[in-house]
Amino acid sequence: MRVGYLLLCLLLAGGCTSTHFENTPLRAGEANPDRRSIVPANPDRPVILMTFSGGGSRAAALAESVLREMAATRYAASDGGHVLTEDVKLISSVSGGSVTSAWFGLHRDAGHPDGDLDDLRNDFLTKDNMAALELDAVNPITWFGLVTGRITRIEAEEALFNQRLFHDATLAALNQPGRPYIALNATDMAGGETFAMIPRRFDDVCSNYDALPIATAVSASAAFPILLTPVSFQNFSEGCAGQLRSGDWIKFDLSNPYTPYFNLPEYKEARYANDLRRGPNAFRDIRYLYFLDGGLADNLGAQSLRTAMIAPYDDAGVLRAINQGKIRRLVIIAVNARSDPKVKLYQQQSQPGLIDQINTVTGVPIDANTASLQIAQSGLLDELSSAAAQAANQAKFGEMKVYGITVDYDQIPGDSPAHRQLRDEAKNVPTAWTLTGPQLQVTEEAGRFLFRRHPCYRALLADLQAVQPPAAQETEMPDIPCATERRNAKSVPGS
Amino acid sequence: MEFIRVSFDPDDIRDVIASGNVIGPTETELTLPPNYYVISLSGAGYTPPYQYVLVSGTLPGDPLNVRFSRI
Repeated sequence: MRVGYLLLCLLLAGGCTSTHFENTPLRAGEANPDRRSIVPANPDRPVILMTFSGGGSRAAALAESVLREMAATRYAASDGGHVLTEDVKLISSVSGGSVTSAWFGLHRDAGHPDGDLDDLRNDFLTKDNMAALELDAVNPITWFGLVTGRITRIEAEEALFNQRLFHDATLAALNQPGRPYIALNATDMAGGETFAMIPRRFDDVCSNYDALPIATAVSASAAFPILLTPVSFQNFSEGCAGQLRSGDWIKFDLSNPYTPYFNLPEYKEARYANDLRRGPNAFRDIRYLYFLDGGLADNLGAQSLRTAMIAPYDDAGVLRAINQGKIRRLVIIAVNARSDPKVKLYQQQSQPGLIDQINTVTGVPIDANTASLQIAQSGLLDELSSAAAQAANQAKFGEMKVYGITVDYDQIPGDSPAHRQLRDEAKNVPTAWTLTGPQLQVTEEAGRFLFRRHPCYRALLADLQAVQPPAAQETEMPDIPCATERRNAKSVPGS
Repeated sequence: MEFIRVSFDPDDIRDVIASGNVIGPTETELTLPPNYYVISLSGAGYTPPYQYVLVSGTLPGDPLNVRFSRI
């Protein structure tokens, strides 16, 4: 009876136990500096910004396959020979995509331009991670820990990530000069906001960014609801003694009657930042934060990319670099691992049951929101490429070329039995932390296939005069122009 | 996106500050999201000290022009 009660508590109330808050406060005089830069060492070199979607190990593997292709693609610039992974400046990621982005952010350096992707594959993608989690979950000692509150279900996932991938490294290891910006996105489950694990956001809750374990940040981004408990943060803003970034833009936007009409997304962002900072006239009284999978609010990671690109207050400073003419080739790569398994409902004559409805309720809104964000992102890239072409020599960004590359299973054509098989098998890989050998193989093959044949990637290779190794059984590439490049009337010098 | 060009002195290029954030240099067209901004420059020796501008409805090649003068 007592055991039954405890298990019921575990299932319904997250364990009826005390909460373990994972973050630490900023102490007096401490700050959250951002030590990274997106400005290229040489204007000849591209600036590559990426998004990795959610989707468990399928998403992690798809992102890994794209990075692997980039690491094998060589080109020469005036400062020497390079591979494309050296030019990755920012990755905004969600859930399974966050596993790969955090790994790449931790390992990509001058000595390892590919980010040690072989080790990611060997240490995680080929492992039976679900079995490891389930073994822990059926272990009586683990259950005792879960029931008594010594550990939670999310802590089992954190332990897995830490043991297999991050080995006690904290976000300070990602926040170093020369490393890419990594925005690991979680969902604030109370407000439905995207909470990006970036230094600026940690200022808003007066918390120490550098001190948080990477495994915790990735788990917050990948805390699949119901199966996992949320990651918990405390808001330390009340009486904060840390040195915070200026909040002038927040005050200005909230007191500005135009912002809600001319830039509603920025107004909402200012309001959320003000609420987190426990500023004047707060809309919400936020004392604690509980994070679930970032895919609930944005399964592409598109929101943090958009903010990084155009928000004047964002640390990444992409807008400033564009305006200064420091970016001549802006490459945006969106890797979307959305599965689309065959459903039986279309062949089912009887009315769908509760499970089918729950699947629809949990999946369809996320997919619809993802589609809207994809459209918004395409629109922004169109605006930037079109602005560069039209402003020409009146703006320093008039020389900028924009390459918008999307990797999405829906782009696999159904024009041959081999393509249809690849499409169907790739779309059928389930969302889990374990892939079978064939599932990993088909996911990586789909990533390679889609990335290599994307018209904007082909255009980038041509402009850089880049060389990539041949792929086995590669068919002829489609003769399609790059949608974001064709409006650029002006060619880039040296291309 | 919207467009603004801030003029001061072509021989003394300054940072343009929009509502507290540096968005780029003077004497060239800059892009930024639509909004009502308070515009100022880095350094000193210019007037007025700031200007309030609504940046909306602009086009690339036809930006909102804002001028500061040397004191």
